[in-house]
Amino acid sequence: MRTRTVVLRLARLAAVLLVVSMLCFLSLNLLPGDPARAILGEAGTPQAVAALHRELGLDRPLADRYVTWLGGILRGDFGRSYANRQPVADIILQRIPVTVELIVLSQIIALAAAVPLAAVAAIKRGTAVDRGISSLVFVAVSVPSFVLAFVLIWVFAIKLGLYPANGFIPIGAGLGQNLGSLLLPSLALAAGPAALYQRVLRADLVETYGQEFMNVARAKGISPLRMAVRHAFRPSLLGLTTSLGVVVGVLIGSSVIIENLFSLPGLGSILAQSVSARDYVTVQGVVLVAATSFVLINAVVDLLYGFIDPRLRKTRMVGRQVRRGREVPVA
Amino acid sequence: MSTGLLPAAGAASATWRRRLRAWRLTEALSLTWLVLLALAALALPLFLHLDTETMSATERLVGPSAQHWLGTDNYGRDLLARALSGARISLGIGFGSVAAAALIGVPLGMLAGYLKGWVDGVVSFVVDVILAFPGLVLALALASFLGASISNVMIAILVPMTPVFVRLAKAQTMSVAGREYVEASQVIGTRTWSIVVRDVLPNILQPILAYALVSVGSAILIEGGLSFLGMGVPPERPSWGSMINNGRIFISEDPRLVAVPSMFMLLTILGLNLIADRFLSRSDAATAGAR
Repeated sequence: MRTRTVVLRLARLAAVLLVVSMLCFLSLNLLPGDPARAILGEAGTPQAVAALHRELGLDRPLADRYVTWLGGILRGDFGRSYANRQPVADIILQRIPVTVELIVLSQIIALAAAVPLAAVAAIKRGTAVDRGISSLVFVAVSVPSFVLAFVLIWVFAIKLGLYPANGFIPIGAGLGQNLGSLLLPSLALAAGPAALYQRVLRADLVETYGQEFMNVARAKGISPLRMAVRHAFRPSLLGLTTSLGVVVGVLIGSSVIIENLFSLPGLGSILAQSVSARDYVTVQGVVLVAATSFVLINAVVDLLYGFIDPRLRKTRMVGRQVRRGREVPVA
Repeated sequence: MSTGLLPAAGAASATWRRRLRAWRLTEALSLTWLVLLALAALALPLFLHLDTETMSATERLVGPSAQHWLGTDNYGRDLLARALSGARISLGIGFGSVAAAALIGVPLGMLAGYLKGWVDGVVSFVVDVILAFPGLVLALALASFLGASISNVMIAILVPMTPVFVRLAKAQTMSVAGREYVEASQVIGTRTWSIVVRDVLPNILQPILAYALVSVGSAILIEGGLSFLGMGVPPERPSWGSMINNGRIFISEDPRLVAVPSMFMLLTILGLNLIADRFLSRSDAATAGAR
């Protein structure tokens, strides 16, 4: 990529993040009702409300407050929770590891299932095996993660009693137990992405298998396994990479539900809790962190294209393969 | 997620035909399910003995019977009646919010794709900003800021859905805009809006409709998620998500409370996806031939 395109992209990225932060700021400030009243409740005297206004800086103009607020965010000050007066930054930092562990684990499971299934389906395309995998994948795409979660809870926690139905065991209490407490939620989160990965990768592999260099490889008499691993895989990774970026957004969303369902102390469950407690400062902080990480992850994914497919470094043509992954449902 | 189920290029025509027939059966089943569901949901008031709110202390958590086809919940309310009432909410919100998202997003995307320049710049930037928020997170935040009501839930769902329609319409418009028939229209001096509406729109409609069907499934999913978290439609209107949420504490006692609304939701989303996939493969085959 030329320097100019890199600079332009970075500028656009910064602009998007800036507007995202403005929206987060405005959402809280345009909210009907007085945050000071919300904190103090019915018991607040007018004097106490006025004092809190000064403390929160609510008596100053909006633009002024935005700059102060953004400065605070950049220094790691997200304000204090309405609910328990704890710094929001501390709440977020405590909870990020759980969500990250959950998402990473579910992605490992998803890829471990999707890659072999896609390879088998692509190699045996058009056969009963391919059709069987496709049907399975189709069902997996359509199952809401929380419905799958209930099936898993019912089978593995209630009927078989193998895993705890909810609760989180920290890594300090032993890696095995920690992973055990995350297994069912990760499985529930993994199914949808796994299905999407399988579909995208299978389609790309089928396309690659139809290309000239694959015929050459076949003519050289290489074993099918070596052909798949050494020749077909890398050119077929573009769609998968794109969907990886999109899926992170979906996962951040579904993790709200799944963490709530399995009582995991992650970012998603605090978002759900603070939404129902009307603790908007915490909502604002979590949404800002979620959106920023999502944007940055997608920026990194964009950079990955160049590494995966050197052809894209020269021509900025990002073809059908890339677009295909983008057109996925938002949930 | 478009070409996943497209038959391989080299497949024999016999497999082709068999596949088409096989899929047609599932499509027919999907359509039947959706039509029956819609009819049953609309005809619900006519079933006088079915009521969503009548509680009964003696008939708590009873299994299927002649009077209650799918049994009752923990308050003795009829599960079928509640699931059908939930269908009205879910299908209404699903189709409503997607229709609104498409009506806003498609014209914007077509304008951006056809006019390019600053219009495209502005539209794409707004799209990027909205897509910066993970879908369900944005919907949840909007629902909480706006407050619980059916129209607010629809807004919370359509905001994260619109940008994808913009992107899709823009990409499709750009691929159509260079074709000869559009150039011919430009040469004879047809006005821009007329080209966009009469030459471009009909040629990009099929993939958009297919995507809209998939989106209805996603919208139902988001609505279910919001209701499940207690941020969806007001509690006095039963929806699939809130039924699942209500039943979750009874999961070891009586999984039916979760299973009934889950099955309704799953079958509906699956049906919508199956029908959409038919259109997607067809439009893909059509555009692949044209390219």
